[in-house]
Amino acid sequence: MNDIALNSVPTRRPDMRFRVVGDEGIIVSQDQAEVIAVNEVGARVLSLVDGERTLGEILTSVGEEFDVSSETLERDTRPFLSELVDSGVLGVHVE
Amino acid sequence: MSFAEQFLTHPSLFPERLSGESPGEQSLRFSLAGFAFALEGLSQPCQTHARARLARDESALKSSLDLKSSLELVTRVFIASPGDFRDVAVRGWQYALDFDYRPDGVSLAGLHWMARSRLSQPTESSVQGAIWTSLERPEEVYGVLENYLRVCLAYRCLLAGGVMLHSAAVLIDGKASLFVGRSGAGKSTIAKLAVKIGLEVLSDDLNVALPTGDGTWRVSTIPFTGDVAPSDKCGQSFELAGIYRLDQAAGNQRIALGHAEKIASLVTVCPYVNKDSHRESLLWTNLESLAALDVQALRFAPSTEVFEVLRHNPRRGENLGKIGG
Repeated sequence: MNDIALNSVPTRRPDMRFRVVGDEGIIVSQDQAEVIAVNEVGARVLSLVDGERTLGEILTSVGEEFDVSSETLERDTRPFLSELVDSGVLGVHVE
Repeated sequence: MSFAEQFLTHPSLFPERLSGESPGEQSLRFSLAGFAFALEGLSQPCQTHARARLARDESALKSSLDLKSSLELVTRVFIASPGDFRDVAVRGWQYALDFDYRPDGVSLAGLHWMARSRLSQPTESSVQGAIWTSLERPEEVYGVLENYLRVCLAYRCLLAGGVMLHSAAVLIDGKASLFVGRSGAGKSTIAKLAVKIGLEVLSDDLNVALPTGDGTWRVSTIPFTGDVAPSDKCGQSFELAGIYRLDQAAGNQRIALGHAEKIASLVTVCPYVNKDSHRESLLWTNLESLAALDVQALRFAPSTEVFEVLRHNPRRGENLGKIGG
């Protein structure tokens, strides 16, 4: 699994669609024919993936909104985003 | 690969106008899931063949469903030159239509045919769609018509607040349960198991679900059924009791799903419309409404015991706490 550095900028692939439904989110990857449901924190993380913010900036924003330590957030979020990169749902580049 | 490149010799020459020379002047009027359709420009043999498949009797123009629109979607068939289409080596190849989604409609390309349909709910009975094909044999032309009509019906359902679902529909105590899943998920298996214990199966391929307006939904049967569907239920509708996403497993168990998981399970089984970015919001709105119903995961082993677990209460899914779901 690719580990995403904090200065990496995650990007949405052109075929990736993301929708917030209530407190949760749904990712649809048209090319991969894959649909993934994510919880509230995952939905917020993905809503901040805009091709401009670095992972570090995203984690800082999410940490301010949710009552969760930065260590826990980083520990959970990096593998999550890495899986999405590996599966072709997200892209990533380093600033 | 760009649109229609796989099927057409000159994709850039895809017809812009709904015009051409028709193979005949026969027409056929019928209803699918309560929506009125008309095909025009058919040859006599093709009309006879299509009528036998789509509208076995005059009751095909009536439906127990509340008609969402009695206005016909009129489609005219036109002749295309065989040279317009590529020869595709079909051995070992999985046939999938090619789509060009547009703000005002959709264009389609398949083996020896292409089509275009405007995608607003008809406001008057005028020609809204066209099919161009080089095929002449009635059974081959019917295959084209069915492929085209599946797409049109999916869109008419979408515009009426409903969805067409890849699913097996089983009647249990007079109500329809839908078992959804992609190809290979077990829809046909569930249908065969249901038949084995004396339950009625409406279809193991495609079913239409439409809201009634009072919070309930109804399942309507259509002629595009699978291998095990009885024909005498075609055109009827039944209250939708619940939807089960099939997950083949070693045992049988129902798992409750969160709202997002429900919608995620449903969006994958809405053929044709679930890749249309122009009407994405409409699909999500309809699915949010449908997800208010009982939508669960059903882990099942291929035995009739699976129907026993439908009588027990499910437990909450254990995978909702993780970020990745």
